[in-house]
Amino acid sequence: MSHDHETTPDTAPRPNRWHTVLGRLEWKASPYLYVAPFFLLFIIVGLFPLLYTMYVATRQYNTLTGDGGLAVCGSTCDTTQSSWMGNFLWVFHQQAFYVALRNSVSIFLLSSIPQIILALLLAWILNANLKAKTFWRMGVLLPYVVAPSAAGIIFSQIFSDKMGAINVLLQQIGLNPIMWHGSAIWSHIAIATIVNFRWTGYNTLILLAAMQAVPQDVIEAAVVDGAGKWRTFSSVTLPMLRPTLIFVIITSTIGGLQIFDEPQLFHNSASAGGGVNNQYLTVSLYLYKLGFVSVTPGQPNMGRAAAVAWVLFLIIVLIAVLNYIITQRLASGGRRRNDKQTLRRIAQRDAEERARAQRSGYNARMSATHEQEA
Amino acid sequence: MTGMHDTHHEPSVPALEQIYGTKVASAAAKRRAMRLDVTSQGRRPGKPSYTVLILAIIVFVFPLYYAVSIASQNSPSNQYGVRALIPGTALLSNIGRAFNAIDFVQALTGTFFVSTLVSISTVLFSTLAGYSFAKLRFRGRNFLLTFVIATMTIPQQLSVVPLYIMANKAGLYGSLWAVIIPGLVSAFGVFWMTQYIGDALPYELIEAARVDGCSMIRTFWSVALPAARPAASMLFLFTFIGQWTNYFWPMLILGSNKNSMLTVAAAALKGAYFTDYTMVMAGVILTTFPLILLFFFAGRQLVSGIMAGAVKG
Amino acid sequence: MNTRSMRIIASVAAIATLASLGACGSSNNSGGSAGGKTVIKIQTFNNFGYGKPSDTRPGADLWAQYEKLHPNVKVEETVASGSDDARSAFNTAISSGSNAYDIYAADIAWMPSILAMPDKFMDLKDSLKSNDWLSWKTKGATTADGKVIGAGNDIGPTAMCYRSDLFAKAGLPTDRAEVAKMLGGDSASWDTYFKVGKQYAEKTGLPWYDAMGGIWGTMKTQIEEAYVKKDGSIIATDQQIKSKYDELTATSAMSAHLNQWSDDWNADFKSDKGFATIMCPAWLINNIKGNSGASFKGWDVADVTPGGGSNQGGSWLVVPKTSKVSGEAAKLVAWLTAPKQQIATFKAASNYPSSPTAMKDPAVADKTEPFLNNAPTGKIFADRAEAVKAVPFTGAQYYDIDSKLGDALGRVDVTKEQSPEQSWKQFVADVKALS
Repeated sequence: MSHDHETTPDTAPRPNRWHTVLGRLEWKASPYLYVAPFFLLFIIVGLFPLLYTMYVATRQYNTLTGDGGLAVCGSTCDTTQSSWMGNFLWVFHQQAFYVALRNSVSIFLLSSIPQIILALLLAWILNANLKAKTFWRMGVLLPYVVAPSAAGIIFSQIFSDKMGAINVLLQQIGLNPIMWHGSAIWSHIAIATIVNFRWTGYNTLILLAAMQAVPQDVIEAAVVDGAGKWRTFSSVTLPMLRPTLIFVIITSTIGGLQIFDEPQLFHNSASAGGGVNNQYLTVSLYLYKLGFVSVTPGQPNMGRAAAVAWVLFLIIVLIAVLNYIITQRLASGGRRRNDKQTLRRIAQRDAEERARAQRSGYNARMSATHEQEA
Repeated sequence: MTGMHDTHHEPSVPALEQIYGTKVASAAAKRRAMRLDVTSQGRRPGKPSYTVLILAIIVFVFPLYYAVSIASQNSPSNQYGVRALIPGTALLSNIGRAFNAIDFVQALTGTFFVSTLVSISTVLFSTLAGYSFAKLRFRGRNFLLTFVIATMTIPQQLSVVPLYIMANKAGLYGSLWAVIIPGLVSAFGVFWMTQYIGDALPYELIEAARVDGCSMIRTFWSVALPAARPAASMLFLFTFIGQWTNYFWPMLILGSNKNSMLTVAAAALKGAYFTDYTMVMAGVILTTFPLILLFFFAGRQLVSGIMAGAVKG
Repeated sequence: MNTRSMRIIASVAAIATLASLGACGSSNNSGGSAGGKTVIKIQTFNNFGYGKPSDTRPGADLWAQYEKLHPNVKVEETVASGSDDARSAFNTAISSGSNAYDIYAADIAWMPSILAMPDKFMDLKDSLKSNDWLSWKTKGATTADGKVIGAGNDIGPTAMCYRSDLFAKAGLPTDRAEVAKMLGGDSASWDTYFKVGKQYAEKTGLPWYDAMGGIWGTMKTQIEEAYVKKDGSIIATDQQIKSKYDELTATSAMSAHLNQWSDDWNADFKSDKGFATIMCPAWLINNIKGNSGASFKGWDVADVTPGGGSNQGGSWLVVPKTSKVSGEAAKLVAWLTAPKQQIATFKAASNYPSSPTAMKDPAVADKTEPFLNNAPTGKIFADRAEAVKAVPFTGAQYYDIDSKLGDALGRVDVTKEQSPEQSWKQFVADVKALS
């Protein structure tokens, strides 16, 4: 941010212009006053709940009976000792937790990989000199205004096991119907489709923006050098999208691992979702079921749900960091180490790209919060 | 972008120029550009491009069409399969039934109220804080800004358990305020406004206002706010849509007070004895329609909002 | 364009916010008085048949009657979409004491928790003096020290519903008396039921019953101590349940492999290749009618329950102590669960009464159901209620264990990805993990 502006308002006070002490005080206090509302509210609705989750996670906390002291893992870990780790231990002993984790990762991969490939293709097409540019851009963005829960309801009719649109069509052409709910992988594909429906267009626009930032003369230079369409794309355009791609991937990790609305409404049956063998139980659904569906007096339903929340958070942070490292490594692997000047130029370009990506990343991150806002 | 010509079978244009001279080289460049559909305005799209786009849009619109088509079926049923690919004629009457079943007016007002209030508050507090972070120097600034950025990635789901307990203790279970209050501020918003104001508002303007004897709040109001308006509108739009489509938290905290937000009301439309999907889909349409309407008016802004960050880089 | 349309949006938003500010204060504050009237708030779910009839929720319009009888009272009913939603609202309200309704409809599955916290609810014993219930129904809401904290609403005596059209095609008797006889009449056993089912499935290639979960729903209610003993010990993984589990999972060939309450289950009620029989508690008739369409011909009901009488579901009304109008609320509860009103809701919404007086009333006893080929449902369900011998003891973990067993059956029946043995192993682990 604007390092070239060395003169800031506070470094050059002009007492003759400032008539009252009050005025000066206002200028001094204002920076704090302006950030204060945000921080005050944030402490109440953001920071405090975060710490409180940590606290609840260590307690035998039940919705009906309240806080019942330190958590006890119970017969699951063959202990009656209470300890702050009780709920965490309990969660780590649950097969359902690992299944939920597997499902979340699987759904996340099934949604983000095809989504990014498709978005790249669409962005590449949109980046051409099209007629009615705005129309096409709006067209791909349309699903964004459909709530995930609404999309879940609509797709539950498309992916119904017996009478769903797809299975009826499959049967009419003599194929076997697909067990959309019964089979783990198909249910993941169905759920990932719902996610892709809503987010592909959105990511297309982010990537399109990044593509437009690739200077036309660089592309022309590549063409002049005799590179083909694919070569131009893979050697010129794609590397320049790297920072944006990192952001899209990280944010879809954050959003993808928290997926709730889509599997819950895809479930399409009474009671909380996930399937009889937890085929499409995601970590968020698991949290919901633990904390808000089975409320047996004496069991720390809230405590366990809070423990799951914390584990989920740590996993997300871990994956985001890994993601970043891997993409960095991959990207730098193919780069030729040249003289210092080139390195400096590369570093400078990287910084610029990163700044640009941070901005475009805003939208991607927004998308992540929208998915998780709750 | 070096090293391309030593792997490619065609000689590069500079190579041609060295060997055969400028004329041959420029002719070759033109020919290749033609072949690759590149003009000085960018790649020229061919029929395949339009075909892919049309296909993509059909895929994107199909689920909405399917919803409308099911909602228009003449006889209520719990499942339609492919029959519903052909629309019926009962769309309006089904929408009317859903309208009554979810107390649409109340749910619409509630959703609108929540989304608007949350968006206004987010924009206001984000702009204030963003202005302060971007343009004012104060002790602790860097620390606080780092703090904001660090908290951006914290999933809000992490907090549902304590928020639920807190909302209950405050007696807000079932109330729209329980949805509104946690959404009042957003770390993103602050980051976004800080970035934007940092770029878009020159120090000279603030200086000038100060020299003119403006108070700080006056400077904010008459200099910073107008400069931040494009970014603020984007933030408003995206926060608004985000709240409108929010489901998990409202579902948890609104309890049986289902009629107060559209997503929750539509998801709860399943009947007592059987699920009439004409009505459920009509409910989905009622939930989605206001945003589609918004999309027609503000779709351009949404598109440029998503693209804004990158383009400005 | 850019700024102008933004400005329009902004001003519309501003106006609408101001306009909606007034409209948002409608949260569920606990009852009190409004305009001089005592307001009683009640939460129900699915359809209790109390309210004004609508095309999705038939009702007896009792609120209007009550308000006429008590001009100073206004009743506000909130219908939660399902018992899960209703329960989480209930749990929250009871635990926090805030925003509670004055009366809650409570499903049978909630009763263990409710009985575990008797201090949170009004003792209704005195207000309910003039009402009568089947003795086991009263027992279901009576605490150890004799407080009655719930007023029985309906019960779910279970008969067998069947598709006479499919029976005819398979050469089975279609007359409901003969069907009952075929399954063994009063001594009908699961063994006979499955034997007939096997023949049916082999002959037609069509499913005999809807889902193992549905059969289990009846089977488990025929055991007095199914998952939990009265002393609190868990016996869910003992031989008693295991042998029944084995018996049931061996009949996979005659299942329709459906997930109960799913869309596919709903759709199968009217299918030509649908299941031929289903265990039907009295309240299920509405679902059958809804799912098949009221004009559908073929469903009938036989006065028989394999394995002996069974009560499935049923509900109570409870008044939390936090209610500010608990006295008025108790009066309303007594009125709603009095025989006369039970009769009215049975007529409107097929919720079978838990009051013997109501059961004997001609309006109930002589009721026939045109949808079920004019079956005398009043008589059939009265017989079925009488046949109920065992009232399962539902200790604190009963329903948690039950849902795990439901999952275990689903893994064998619906997704077919585990053998009965594998699935049982997982169930044993699940039960262990519950505590």
